[in-house]
Amino acid sequence: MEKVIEVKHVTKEIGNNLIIDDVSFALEEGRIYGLVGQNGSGKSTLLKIILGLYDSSGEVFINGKNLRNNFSEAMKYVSGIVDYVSFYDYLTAYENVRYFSMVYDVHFSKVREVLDLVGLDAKDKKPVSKYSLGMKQRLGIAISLLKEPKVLILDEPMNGLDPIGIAELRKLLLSFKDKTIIISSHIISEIEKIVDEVLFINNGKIIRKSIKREDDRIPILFRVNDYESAAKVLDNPLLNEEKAIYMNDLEVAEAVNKLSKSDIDVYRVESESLESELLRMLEGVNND
Amino acid sequence: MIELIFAELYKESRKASFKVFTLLIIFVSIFSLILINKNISLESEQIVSYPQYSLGEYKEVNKYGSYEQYLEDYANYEQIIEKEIKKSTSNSNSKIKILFSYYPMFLFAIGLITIFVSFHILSYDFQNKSIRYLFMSDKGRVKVLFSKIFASVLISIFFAIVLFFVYLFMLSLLTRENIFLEGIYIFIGESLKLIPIVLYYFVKTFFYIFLMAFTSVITIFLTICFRGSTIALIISNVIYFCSLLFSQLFFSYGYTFIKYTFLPYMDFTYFEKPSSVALNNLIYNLDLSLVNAFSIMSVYGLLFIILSLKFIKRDV
Repeated sequence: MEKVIEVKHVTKEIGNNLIIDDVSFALEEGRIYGLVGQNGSGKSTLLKIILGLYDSSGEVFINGKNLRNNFSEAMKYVSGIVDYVSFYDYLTAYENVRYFSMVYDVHFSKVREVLDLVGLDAKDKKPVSKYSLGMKQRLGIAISLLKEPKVLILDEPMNGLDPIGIAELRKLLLSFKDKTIIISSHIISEIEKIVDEVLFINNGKIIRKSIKREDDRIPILFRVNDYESAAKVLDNPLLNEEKAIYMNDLEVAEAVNKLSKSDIDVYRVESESLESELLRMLEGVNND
Repeated sequence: MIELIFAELYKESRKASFKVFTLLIIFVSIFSLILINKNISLESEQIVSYPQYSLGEYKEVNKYGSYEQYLEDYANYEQIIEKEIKKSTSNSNSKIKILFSYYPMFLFAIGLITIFVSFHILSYDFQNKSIRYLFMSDKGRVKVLFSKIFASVLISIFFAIVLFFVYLFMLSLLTRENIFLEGIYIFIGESLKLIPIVLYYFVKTFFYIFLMAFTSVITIFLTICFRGSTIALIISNVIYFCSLLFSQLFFSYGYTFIKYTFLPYMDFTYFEKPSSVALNNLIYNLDLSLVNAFSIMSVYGLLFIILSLKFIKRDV
C-alpha cells in the first residue's frame, strides 16, 4: 500500500526539553492508526508537527510532498483536530464551515455535504456555543473533511464525550474507508475498537508499532501451568516470559491443541488489551 | 488571498460587535452633530489666530530654536491668516464649515474602533486555538496574516465611509444648504486654493484611513507578540492615545530622535490647523509634517509587518 505519511528523524525541543527524539515511521493509505502513550509522552507534539503547526528538525512527507519545502502542496492532503476542537462560537455550524470553505478555497456546495456526513443540520440557527461537546467534535471533523484530506489527524477526539458520543464518533470514523486516520487518545479501550495499528510513544520515542488487525492477528496471552515447556512446544520464547503472542483464531486453536497434547494445562487463553500491552511496553522500556 | 479576505469579512460581519460599532458610528455622529449645531454661533466663530509669544513665553514653550526665527515665522503666519480672511467669502464661517471641522475628530475616534477590530480579528483565533485551522490551510501563514490586516483595514474603511455619508446627510439636513457648493481655502503648494469642502474632507478621510491601516498593523503585530492577550489591546490604545504625550515628554528632555519614530505622528488631528504650525512647539521644533508622517509611518509599518511575519511562524 502507498505510504501517505513518512516521518524521518524528526526531533523537537521545546525550551531545553526534548519532546520528540529522532522519530521515524511511515503510515499507509486507508488504515486507522492509534497513537498511544502516557501524558507528556509527545503525542500531541508529534501530531502538531505532522499538521505543520510545530516546526521541527527532520523531514515529514505527506503524500510524498515535503512539508517544509512544499508546505502548500503537502497541506492539501492532511487535516485534523489537535488538543481540543475550537471554532467561532458566535457563528452557526453552517457559518463556521462556510467560513473555512472560503479559507480552504473549497466550493460552498461542499459545506452541506460535510455537515450531512457528520450528521449536523445545516439549517440549525443555534450558535456553536450552544452545542454539546459531541456535536462540536463532529463539527471539527466536518471542517477537517472540507479539504478532502487523505490523512485525518484527531488528537484525543473522545475526550469528554459520553458513551453515546464515543459510539457515534467511532461509527463515523469507521465510515471513512479511503482515509488514513491517526487518532491519539488516552481512552485506550476505545481506540482499540477501531484502529488497525498502534504506535506506542514514550518519552518522545516510538517504542513499538503494533499490528492489531493484520491478518486478524491480535496479541494473545496464554495462562498455562508450565511456561518454560509451553515456550518450547510452541517454539516461542515470549511465552516463557508470559508475554503476548500475535496470533489469529486458527493459530490459537492449533497452539491450544499442541499444548494439550504435550500435557500442558491451559487454564485460560485471552486477548491482551491494548492497555496491558502499553503497560507491558512501558515496563520493558523502563527495565531497559 | 482574495478568498481569505472574503472569509474574514464574512466572519467579522456576523459579529455582534460589528453591528454595534456601525450603529454607534451612525447614532453618535447624528446626535453629536445635532448638539454641536445647536450650540454654534457664527458670530463668535472666528478664524483662530494665536497671539505672539513674548521672549519669556517663547523660551518656556519652545526649548529649541531661536526667537528671531520664531518672529520671522510668526510674521509669515500673520500674513497667511490675513490673506485667508481677505480672500474668504462672506460665508467663510458657515455652519457647514464649522460642523465639518469636527469631522477629523470623529475619524480619529474610528481609529479606536480599528484597534478593537484588528485585535479581535486575530486574538479570538489565538485564544480559542482556531488559529490552528487557519494555519492548516494550504495558503500558508503569510497569506493568513495579510488577509487579517487587509480585512481589518477594509472594515475601518467601511466605518469611515459610513461616517462620511452620515455626515453629508446630517449636514444637508441641519444647514438646509447645498453642501456641495460650499468651498474651503487650503494651501496647495505655496498658494491658497478654493476647493469644494466635500472633496476636501473626502480626501482627508483617506489620510485617516492611512493612519487606521498603520494602527491596524501595529495592533496585529502586538496581538501576535502577545498571542491574543488583552495586553496587546491595552498597549495599542496607549500608543494611539498617548503617543503625542510621550513625544512631548521625550522632547522636553532633549531626545529629538523622537521625530524619527512614529509616535509624534499618531494623532493626525494635531495637523488640523496648518497655519498654527509655527506656534506649536513640537511640530515647530521637530519639523513634523504630514509628508514626514506618511514616509516614517510607511517605514515603521513595513518593519512591523516583517516582524509579524517572523513571529507568526512560531509554534501554535
